[in-house]
Amino acid sequence: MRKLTRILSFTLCIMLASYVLVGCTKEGSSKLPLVTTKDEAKIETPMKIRMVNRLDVAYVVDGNPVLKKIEELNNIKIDLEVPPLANYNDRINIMMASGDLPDLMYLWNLDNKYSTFAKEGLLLPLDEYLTNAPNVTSKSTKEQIQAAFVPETGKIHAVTRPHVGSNMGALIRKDWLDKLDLKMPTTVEEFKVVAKAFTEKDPDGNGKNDTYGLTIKADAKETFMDPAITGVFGARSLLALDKNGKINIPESDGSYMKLLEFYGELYKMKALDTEFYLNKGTAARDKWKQGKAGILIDSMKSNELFAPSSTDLKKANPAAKVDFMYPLKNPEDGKRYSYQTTSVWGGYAITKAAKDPKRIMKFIDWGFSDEGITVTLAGVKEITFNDFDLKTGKVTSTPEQKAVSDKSLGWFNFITSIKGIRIVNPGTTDEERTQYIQLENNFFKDVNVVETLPESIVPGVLDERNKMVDLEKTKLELSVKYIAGQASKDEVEKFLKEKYVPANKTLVELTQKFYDTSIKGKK
Amino acid sequence: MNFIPRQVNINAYIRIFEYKMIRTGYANTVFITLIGTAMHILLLVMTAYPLTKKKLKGRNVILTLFVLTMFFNGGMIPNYYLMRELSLINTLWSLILPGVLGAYSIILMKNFINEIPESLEEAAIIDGATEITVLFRIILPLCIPSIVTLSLFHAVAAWNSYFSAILYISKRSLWPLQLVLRELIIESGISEVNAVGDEGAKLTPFTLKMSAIMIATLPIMCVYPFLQKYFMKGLLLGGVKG
Repeated sequence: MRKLTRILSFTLCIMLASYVLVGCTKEGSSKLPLVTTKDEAKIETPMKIRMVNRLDVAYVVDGNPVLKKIEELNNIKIDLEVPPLANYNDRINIMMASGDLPDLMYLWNLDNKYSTFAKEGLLLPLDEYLTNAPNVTSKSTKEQIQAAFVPETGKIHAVTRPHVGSNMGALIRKDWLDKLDLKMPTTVEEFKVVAKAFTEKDPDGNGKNDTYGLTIKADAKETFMDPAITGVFGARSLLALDKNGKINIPESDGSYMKLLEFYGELYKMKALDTEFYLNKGTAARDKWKQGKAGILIDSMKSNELFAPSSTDLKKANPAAKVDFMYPLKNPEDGKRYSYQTTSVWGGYAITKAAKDPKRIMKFIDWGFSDEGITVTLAGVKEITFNDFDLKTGKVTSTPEQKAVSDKSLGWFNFITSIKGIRIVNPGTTDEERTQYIQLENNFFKDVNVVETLPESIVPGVLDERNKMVDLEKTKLELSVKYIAGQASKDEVEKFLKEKYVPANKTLVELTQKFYDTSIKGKK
Repeated sequence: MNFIPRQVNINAYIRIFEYKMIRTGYANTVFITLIGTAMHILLLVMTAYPLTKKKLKGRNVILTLFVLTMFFNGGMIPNYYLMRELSLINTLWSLILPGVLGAYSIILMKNFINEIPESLEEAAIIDGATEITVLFRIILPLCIPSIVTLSLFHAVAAWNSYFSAILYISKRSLWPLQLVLRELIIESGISEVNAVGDEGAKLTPFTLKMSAIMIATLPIMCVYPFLQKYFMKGLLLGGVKG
């Protein structure tokens, strides 16, 4: 027995000692044997594509009829990975850093990480492949394709997902407007009157002083640069020219300060949510859905009338009516402006691990075809819809089919708009769809949309932005304090003049140089 | 704002439980917690007990190797690579195995076992008990306070784990509860919960979020008061006299 115990102990010690050898592996021995495309072509089995995609919480992967249809039509087998939404970028970073590359991946932001991946050769350049992608090139604008350009490599490394045009505004409670006999505000002064009335005149009729005119969030540097308001004061995006035809930042010409003064006045009147500085993430939207605020400014597009921002509000309060407020008029010329970057919703990149990039590109191009658009946006006939008219964007389905499509479609698509016009019009009834189309048409009639390329395509800009992370944080904190009356105008102006604007000098110079050579020079 | 609710009903809790991801998240978390804690205790006792024997050759070397892991860690990328090589990606074992045995727990348990008089073991051996019998029938019953304490540490950590799931799990059916909660609360997936069930039951997103948080924390809050005395006893006996 003792001998047996000794043998057992000795064996366990050897096993423990051999643990240190775990790190020693033959290079390349860890690669799993894969069926190559040639082999698959011979035996005609579907090509396996490992794909990482950012999909909404409702999306179901197992037994998804739309996914199955996509695979059938393209003769592929998609091994779909769906990381958590909140940490999607973290997961992508880990996969790229560890070398565990998928074949095809969706990149939510075409930012400095995207540029880094491209520079390090992890993402294939797609310029050559795009010449054989007729659906992509015919249904995307040049600017949308160009939005994925990486200046450091001089190539395009992702196929951008064209998104709906830049019709940003605000949501407003129409039932409150009607009850207080007010009209939709079109100017800053009208907006202040409406916001004040929403705060003081008990628009929800519950006898309590518990509503605000307006709620916003305070945790993002873009918060005070919402397109619903920026056009009023001329606060532009980086690549939009100022009055003198030059590249400049709104913090240098006083337009940013005017924005803060606008919010500050609303705060003093108590028309702005007095706890707005605590609104992080979706807190502002939650307050809106609870019926606490009459106006929501949070990157709202007109389709939000039919999205959870409105539908959740109506579930809690069936009497609520929501309308869409266009950007307010600039007092100088009485026109409405909307400063926007090229409307894309991330992009799809093919990594260097892909065995057959041409085939994957063909799959992406299929996603831009009429058939691909029908399957990815409407689904499978008789399972998720009865009828889909590509021209009008009307989807006809039964409630049962809608329930299936809600779980099967999600954000798994390659294109949501063609040259700025949304493909599938939101709304469940003809009345709602008509309302949406009217809002879109009127937007482009009434609003001057100034669309520019994203700043990520300017060489060096993202690196400059990275250097200013702490400065941006300080600017945001100071802006919030000023609006809440905790900091003076002089303090903010001093900070902007002495620290913020000088720190952005290189950024502005790089952008001006890029504009002069690559945009103005080519016109 | 009222402190006492104007209307008391449990619709939010019902709605939360009707949402499939909450149920699968709960099941996964319970599995990770129970199996992980059981494995943790078994491995812990089997590791700590031999290390108390002075006659064990190489004891100090082994102990040093364990302690080194407290200071140095491979890092996120090597760990991810290791999980991938072991084919543990997208399995619940990737959430259980990496943290199943920690050096800190081994040291605490070893110190606790050291306090047990050797004469007890000697008496048992004289009576014909084997080493395994001594471990499971003499040592283990005397270590209950320490075992309960360390089980609680591990169980709470396993219950709250979500970052490992972010790294290693892509399949939603394998997401633990905390990750499901994070998706619902931070990413406004709460509207998906609201879509489940009767359209007539109107619930605000805030109510649903708070209900989800309560559901996630209630089990641990219920268990802790019963284990508290063992927790305090175990900390003092294992930690101070070591």
